[in-house]
Amino acid sequence: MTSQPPPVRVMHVSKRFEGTHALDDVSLDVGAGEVFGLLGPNGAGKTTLIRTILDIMKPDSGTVEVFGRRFAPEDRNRIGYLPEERGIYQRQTVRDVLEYLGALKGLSPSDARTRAARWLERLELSDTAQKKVESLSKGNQQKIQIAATILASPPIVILDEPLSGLDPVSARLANSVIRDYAAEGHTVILSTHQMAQVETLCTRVFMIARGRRVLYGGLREIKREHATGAIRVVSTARYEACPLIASMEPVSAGGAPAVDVHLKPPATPDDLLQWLAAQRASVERFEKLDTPLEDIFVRAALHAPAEAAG
Amino acid sequence: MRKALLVAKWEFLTTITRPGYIIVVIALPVLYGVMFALGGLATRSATADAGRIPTAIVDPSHVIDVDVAAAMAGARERVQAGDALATALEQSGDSGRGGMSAAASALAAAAPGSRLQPFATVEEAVAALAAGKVAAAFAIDANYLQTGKITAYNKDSGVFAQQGDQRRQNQVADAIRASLMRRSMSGEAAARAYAPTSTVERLHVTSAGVVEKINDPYGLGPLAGSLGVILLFTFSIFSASGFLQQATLADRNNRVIEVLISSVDPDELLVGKLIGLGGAGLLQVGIYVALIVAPGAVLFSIFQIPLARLLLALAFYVVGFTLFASLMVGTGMLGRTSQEAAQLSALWTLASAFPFFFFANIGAQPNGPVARALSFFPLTSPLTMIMRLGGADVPAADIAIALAVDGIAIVLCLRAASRIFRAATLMQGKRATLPEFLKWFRASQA
Repeated sequence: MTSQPPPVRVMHVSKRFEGTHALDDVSLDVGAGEVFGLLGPNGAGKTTLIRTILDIMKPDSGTVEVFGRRFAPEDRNRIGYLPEERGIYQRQTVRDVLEYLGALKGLSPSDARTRAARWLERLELSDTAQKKVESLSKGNQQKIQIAATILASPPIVILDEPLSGLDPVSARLANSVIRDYAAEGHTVILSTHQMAQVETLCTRVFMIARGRRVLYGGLREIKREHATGAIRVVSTARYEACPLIASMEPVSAGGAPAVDVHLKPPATPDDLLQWLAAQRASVERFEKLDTPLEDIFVRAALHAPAEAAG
Repeated sequence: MRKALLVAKWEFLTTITRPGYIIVVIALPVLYGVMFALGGLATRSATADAGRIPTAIVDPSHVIDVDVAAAMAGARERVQAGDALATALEQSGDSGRGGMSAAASALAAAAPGSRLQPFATVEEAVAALAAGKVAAAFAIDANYLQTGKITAYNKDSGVFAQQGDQRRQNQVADAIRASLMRRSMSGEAAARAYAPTSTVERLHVTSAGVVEKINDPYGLGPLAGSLGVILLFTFSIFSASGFLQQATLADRNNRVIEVLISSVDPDELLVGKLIGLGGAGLLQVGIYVALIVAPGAVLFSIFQIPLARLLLALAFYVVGFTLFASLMVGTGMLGRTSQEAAQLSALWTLASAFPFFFFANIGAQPNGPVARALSFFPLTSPLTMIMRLGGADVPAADIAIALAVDGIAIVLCLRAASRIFRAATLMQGKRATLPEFLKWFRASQA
């Protein structure tokens, strides 16, 4: 039995601009039906990586495969792209713009019209079909662009900051659209700085900094790897007497005085809980702290290796 | 190619519905038409007013017969309608002085020029001039036949008065000539001598030696037709190229271009834009022809150009548009605003205008060395060839060489434009400085 190749495979790709490594030996796979987070600080190489996947730019070395082979011209119809620096025709009606962009992705005029109506309804914009794009709010224009990207149901979509300009209600709607789209078996590559969105949607992430991979894998595994082991405790115990604690930091948790405790190895949270019980301390809260992805992102970006001279 | 046609359709429809296009294509010709019509009416009115004021003559030598002069001037204006000159002279010969006066009065009434009004003395004539009763005064010397001397008195001076002065001087000269011929020649001979080339039939000989009739009674000639074709095509080439530049810049400023380029190959996108906006340019030509040129003599001359030559001119229009459009898109993409783009593209506009400096030369010698040299240089070739085709039969070899040169130039320019187009796309959101551009230009190579 042979396994299906991943819809997107990047292998040892490097790209230089004027002596700067935009991409340095980058490799990754993106599977079908997953929302894959592409993270990195500004100027890290995310856009260059996306452009090499889209064949807008060729790598200096390495290979990019989509649908198990090198990029072919017909693949333009099978990859939707919402760039970060984006815009939309302003003087035409929403329906005309969607039908045109759908036709450029290979849809017939009638199919494009039907799908445009369906997506406008899904995005709660049915009443805008005959309106000129310029008459819509920035947020609604943004939703039109999301609709244009997935109108032709491309098997792969690349969304670069899809939520920028959206209010929380629209952002929630967009997130549900993205989640449902991936659930239908499509591949979604999501490039964003909004860590909350990554935590909500992504199953795996790739973080790039200075052109190099700094994080790659399942979100859960990455968070586990980067967990600090801290435990937030609200209790009546006197922690100074605890032999298990390496350090602690007083914090305020919902008005109650709390401490974030770091244990000495090989002590475990269970050991600490037993010690608290032995002290007959009243325990109001005992929580193993999760490391926010944002902290992992900042730490990884700050500690990314400097670029090789060249 | 399907996507190129989709792009072409979109660009065509979005361009021809743009307010700027509608204003340029429809409103401006109508406005200019109204202005020209009003100007023409005003000029005609002023000319008619000037024509009503007589010219004074003081003729102690009795050289001028005012009635004969008026009769022959009137007849010359009507010569197309028949042999009025001879008739006028015959009537004057048969009927003596009285009969001549009747014919002269009838003919003079039809004459557009002002009358000659005799005065006995120079002082009276000058007083009438000062009072505005006459437009000018001409004093014929008492011994005119011996001395040929005439003194002209005018009230107006300056550049704008020259044309009227010259017209009145010619009127006096015509009057003297008519009067002198009347004394010694018969009616027909005098009519021929007075206006020897007033009825000339013009025929055209093709390079194959075939003689054809030219339906050009007003003497506009092929050059006027050529000029009309050139002006229309040239204007269209640059306005359509300008549309393309604006549309591409708008895509870039709208930031739609990266979305487009992820759906369509950049070369296909460029070709689609060229087709769509070239079509908008041709539509513009069609509308201009219908709105302003159709009623005029220029169209008459366009139709006078053989169809084969007109089609070849159209082919060079397409060549010219493709060449300049690719050049203007390429350079225009370097600008951040349409103003910057226009400034950068001015070089091509200037280069292409070069054949206009040689218009007279090309018109006089459509197959001469200057015309041929300009035909074989890519930037000047399309317009020079359109000029040449408007005025003469151009050797097939010249057409083939020009098309080949232009074809090579187009391929090279399209390639360059395509790369610049890609580079400009990659520069999205970045300032278009030269170093930044060169960086992305190199990156777009692969």
